[in-house]
Amino acid sequence: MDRIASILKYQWRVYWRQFSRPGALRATNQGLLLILTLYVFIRYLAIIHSAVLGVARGKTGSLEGALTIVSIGWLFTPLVNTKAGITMNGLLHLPIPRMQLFSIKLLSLLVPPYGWMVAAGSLIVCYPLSQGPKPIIGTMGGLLFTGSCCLTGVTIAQLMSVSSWRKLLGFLLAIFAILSALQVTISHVHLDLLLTFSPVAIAAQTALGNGSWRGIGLLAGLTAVAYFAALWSFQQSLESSSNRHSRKIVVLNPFIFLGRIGAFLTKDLRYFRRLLDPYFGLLASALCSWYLSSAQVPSIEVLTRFIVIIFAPNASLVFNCFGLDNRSALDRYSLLPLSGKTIIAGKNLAYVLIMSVEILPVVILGAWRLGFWAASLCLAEAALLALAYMTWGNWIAIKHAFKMQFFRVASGGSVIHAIAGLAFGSLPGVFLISLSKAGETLNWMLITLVFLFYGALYLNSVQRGGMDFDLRPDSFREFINS
Amino acid sequence: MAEIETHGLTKRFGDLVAVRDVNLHVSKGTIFGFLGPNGSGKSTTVKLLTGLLTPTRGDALIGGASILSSPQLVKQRIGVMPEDLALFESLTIWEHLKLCGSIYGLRRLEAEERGRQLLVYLDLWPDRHCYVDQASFGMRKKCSLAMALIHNPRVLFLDEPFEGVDPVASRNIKDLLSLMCTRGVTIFLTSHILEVVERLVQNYSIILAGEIVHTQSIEDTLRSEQTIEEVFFKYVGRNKIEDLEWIG
Repeated sequence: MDRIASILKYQWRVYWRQFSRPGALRATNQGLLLILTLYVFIRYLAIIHSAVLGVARGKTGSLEGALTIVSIGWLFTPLVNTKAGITMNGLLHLPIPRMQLFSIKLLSLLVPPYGWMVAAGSLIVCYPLSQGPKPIIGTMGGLLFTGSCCLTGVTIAQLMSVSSWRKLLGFLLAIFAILSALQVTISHVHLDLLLTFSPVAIAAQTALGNGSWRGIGLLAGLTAVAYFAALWSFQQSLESSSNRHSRKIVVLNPFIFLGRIGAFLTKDLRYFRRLLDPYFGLLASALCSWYLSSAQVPSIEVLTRFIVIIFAPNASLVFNCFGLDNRSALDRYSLLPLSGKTIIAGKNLAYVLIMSVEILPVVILGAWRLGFWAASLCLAEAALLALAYMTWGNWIAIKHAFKMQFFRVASGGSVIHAIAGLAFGSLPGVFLISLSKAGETLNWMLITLVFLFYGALYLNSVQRGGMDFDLRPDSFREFINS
Repeated sequence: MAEIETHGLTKRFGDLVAVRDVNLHVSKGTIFGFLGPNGSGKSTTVKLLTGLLTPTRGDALIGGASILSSPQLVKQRIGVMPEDLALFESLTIWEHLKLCGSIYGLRRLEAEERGRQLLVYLDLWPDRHCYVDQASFGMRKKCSLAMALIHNPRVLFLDEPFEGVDPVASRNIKDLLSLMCTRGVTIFLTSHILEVVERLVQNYSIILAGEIVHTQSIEDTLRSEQTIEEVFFKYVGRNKIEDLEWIG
């Protein structure tokens, strides 16, 4: 226990030390983050209140909502990138048994404040569960549900660090999404029916005392499976990190991209697709494609809204385009005879390629279902959104860079910049959504003027971003290293 | 004529002066050794000369081009193997060489041929498709060296080139550096392996706490019947081992 306590003490110290640097609190807008967290927490308490009233009336809608929030919280807590000063690899050479290392891994989830919030939220959800006819069973159900969610989140995060499992998880997720879509579209099975068998529904039912012992048994079994899966995946991730000298698997041939920045494009595309954020954009793109292909009368307004949504999760690719580069890579950028402008433009090109993959299916389906003018409008909207996002990103990517990790969701950096960037980036989308209501009598002259405006802003941002890269390499590297 | 020339080169990090008033003159076609203990300012000086850091004061000329006014020209002329090797995660050794080839303006076939020859010479050809983050330290070092050489630079900066490299590769690197030197390439290297430095370089400087304390040619050092190690310890000094009685 002393070893675990000692290591956790230093984990804690490393985490909080990052805020002791001058300006760190202000730079990462911790005050605003606290206000936002409190707001979310108050909203969550409102859902809990509604859940308590619902359980008293024998309804579990709000309770299931609260349990879903808890499960998402536990899914994301191990996935978001934390500044892990003491890594498991660093501890491997010390005489610490694997089980203790696993305990350290689990307890480390509670080092950052959002870990506390998720833990507190999980305990609070037990309150409405205890308000049913069988309070003890309801509480047990809540605790077992929390445990299984936490361990499942840890398992997924650990498997994400193993190449073969990452691919398998992606494949299974895609199969699950396709089967669900087919089930709902072709068989006309309502989604609620599928969700009846979910752990959320089972935990909620324990509060009402419906088949409570069976529910507890299922949740206990699920928690046990999740525990062994987490332990096994922990072993896998440790072995994977020790297994060096693996061979390259050619997925993207560098010959596709020629020219001076061709190899950088290859690199950036490889980096970007190792961040989890673009997959949320891909999910939005898949949902939009599904909507376009299955809706009886698809709407251009819904389509234009979807395009705005597809861009939002990809924001970190452009707002923090150097976040996946390490110090060594940044040194290489500085050593090569390339101007900052060229490097920034190369990063933008990689972003445009990623966005094209997500947007093109939607545009093609839009052209098929809604006609040429709708596809033109979507293309114009996507181009304007890309210009706006890149403009904002080029303005802030150098001065407000923060470290991101492969196979994790981007987190960190300034909340104000992220919110302002999303607002600025989405602005042309909102403009085109309002124009889309005009139907085919679109004012293309106005759209052209907006294009010219954002084009000029973008060119200015490349110039400024390039200058920032050329002039501020020292402070920039310090940012990346922090 | 000096190929590397610095004038009052100074780098300050807040209150810490990492490099103070460094004045160097390295002749064309020579190998220059830059020596000093850990934290003395060697790597900072290399970073200043190669454009990784901007000097607080002073300037440096590489082949007559200023690092302040013509940084792109300087970068085009030099090859660098920096302290942290400056490699990209998730690119293979081969991709690194092709990346450098295209950026330095080499035609694809030429870059591939040069890359192949360098990797064969450095005994890295069989491992060329290995990701650099999965390669051993020695392999990464050889990859960084090959990247520094692929465009045939006028001036070569090597930060600890022999550290962590196997004896065969070490010998190959030494032979390669000697050959480059005879063909007019200027080489600026830092190393802790003083015996190697003694056999390889023509001139050397010792830097201590950011200031150059000694500059001499190897010929003069040997003529005074001293070794580089003796000169080095004269300035740097050593701590006593007697306090570690509890060991063993």
